[in-house]
Amino acid sequence: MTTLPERYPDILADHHDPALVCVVADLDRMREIATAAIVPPRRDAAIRQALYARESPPAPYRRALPFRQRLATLAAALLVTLIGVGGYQRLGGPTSVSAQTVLRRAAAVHLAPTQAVHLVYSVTVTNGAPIAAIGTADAWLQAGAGGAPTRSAQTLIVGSTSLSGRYVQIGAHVYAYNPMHHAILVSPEARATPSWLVPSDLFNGANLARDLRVLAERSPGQVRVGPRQTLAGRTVDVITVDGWMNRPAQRTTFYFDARTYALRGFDAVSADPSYPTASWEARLSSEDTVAASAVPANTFMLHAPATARVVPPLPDLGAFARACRSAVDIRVLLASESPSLLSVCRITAPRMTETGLATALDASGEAALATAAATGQITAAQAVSARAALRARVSLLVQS
Amino acid sequence: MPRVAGALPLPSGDSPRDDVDLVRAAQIDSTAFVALYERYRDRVYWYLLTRTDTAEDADDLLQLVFLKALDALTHYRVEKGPFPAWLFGIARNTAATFHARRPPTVAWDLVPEILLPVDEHDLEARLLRQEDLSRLRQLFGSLDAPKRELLVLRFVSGLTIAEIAGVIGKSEAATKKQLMRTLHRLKEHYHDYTP
Repeated sequence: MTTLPERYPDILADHHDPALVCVVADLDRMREIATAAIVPPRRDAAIRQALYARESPPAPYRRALPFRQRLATLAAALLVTLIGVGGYQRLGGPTSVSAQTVLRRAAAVHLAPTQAVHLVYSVTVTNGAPIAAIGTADAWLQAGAGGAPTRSAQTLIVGSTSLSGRYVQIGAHVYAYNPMHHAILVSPEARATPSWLVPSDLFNGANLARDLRVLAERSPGQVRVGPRQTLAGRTVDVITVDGWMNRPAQRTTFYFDARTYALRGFDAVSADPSYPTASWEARLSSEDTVAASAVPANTFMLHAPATARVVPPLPDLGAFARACRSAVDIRVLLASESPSLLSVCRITAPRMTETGLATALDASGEAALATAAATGQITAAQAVSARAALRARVSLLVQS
Repeated sequence: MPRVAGALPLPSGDSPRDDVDLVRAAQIDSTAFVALYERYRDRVYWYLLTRTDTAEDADDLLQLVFLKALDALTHYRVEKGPFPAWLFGIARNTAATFHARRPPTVAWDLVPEILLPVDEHDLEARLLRQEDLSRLRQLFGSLDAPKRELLVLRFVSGLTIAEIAGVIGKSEAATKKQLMRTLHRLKEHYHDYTP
């Protein structure tokens, strides 16, 4: 907290009149009262959106050069023209910015409040077979009142299968269905566990860019920017990522629209001939923005078969430290031949019971299953079955 | 979330160098303009609240001001004056156009009482705050519109005297003189209002 003379040095530095200080103090209080007013969040989000959506980005600022310098520049340009320097036209081509800049812009892309966008990508998968598998990735993203995406749904259909993967996110809850394993993953691991080569929510370009930014900061050599290209008539910024998603041999190249920073597509190929993987190519084929009220009913439902198995969520390992008031790293504990979790917990929380510790560890998983069942993403029977599996796993964890 | 009183970024808190960098970045890439919006949003909003009859009008004008600023950003030259002066000049002109058919006003009833940072259960604090507010309103209301605007730009929007000079189109020396004259006038009347 600064003092009054520090806040108003231009007024009080040369004045030591107590009456003037009183006036300034009262006016300073006026500031405190005025600054209680805040821009309504909805309006704030709308203004940000309007600024981002401004159609014509301003041209690069050019400082006016002094006359003599302008004359010299003109002469130089004339000389270049006269001698016909080869490759001159390439100087006017598009230039790329850094990977972090591209990703920062892509991460900032968001919808207007209560708006939704429907994206359809054409997908081609080549796996050494003479004929590539062709399909589509259908994605819906819907923003909440603040403009941030609060719901998304993605359906992947490739080749002869009727469904290759389905992913739904509602707020903090995420669900994924993998038909190959006939299994449903419930948050929080569903987002991080790819049902194919890339994360389940890949087509939420802003989320993807945020993840890549983190990776670029941690491991700059893995994320590189390439020269700008034209992709289906659009200028795109190119970001290449090596070894993404813990696949060392994989090289994934993302194409972000150079104007809107929407994800216009990606390629995923094996960069190591000794470790071949399927090659993927995805290209944005249509993009429709609609009001949230126009989104078809049940768009954000998982639509997984009632016979699918729900993989029990992972226990909340962080709950061990909270419940036991223990500084012991539970992951180290689980990997060692140490006494049971309950025994270790009782060192710092002597009254902890087996049930109490188990409840702490499976609370978040049970809550996620309850939410999934209550919102119709899974059936009640699936929830009961998954809850039993979760409790058995946690019980084993606590006793062993 | 209620704003913490005293958290206003005052002139000395903002680096002109940062402004220059942000402006240049936004002149090359318009998406970078949001950083300038975030920096000046509140200060412009508080100013506009004093220039409009309703908060809704201030909301509308806020959007208009920043869109105008974004559109005109390529014409802004750092050497012609500080960015806040240029931005508040746009805000001032926008508010003036908004009021073109009305008499110019600089209101002080800018904050609904419900927003005031007062513990409703503390009756004494509430009464004292209301008393302070009443005195401030009287002091403020005794001035003509240009002087009130001068005080709003300095004390509410937190502009420096040099920046205010850029907004109102006068020299820094003349602006400081006018501000000090206004403060001394308030000082003379201060005892009339003080219990």
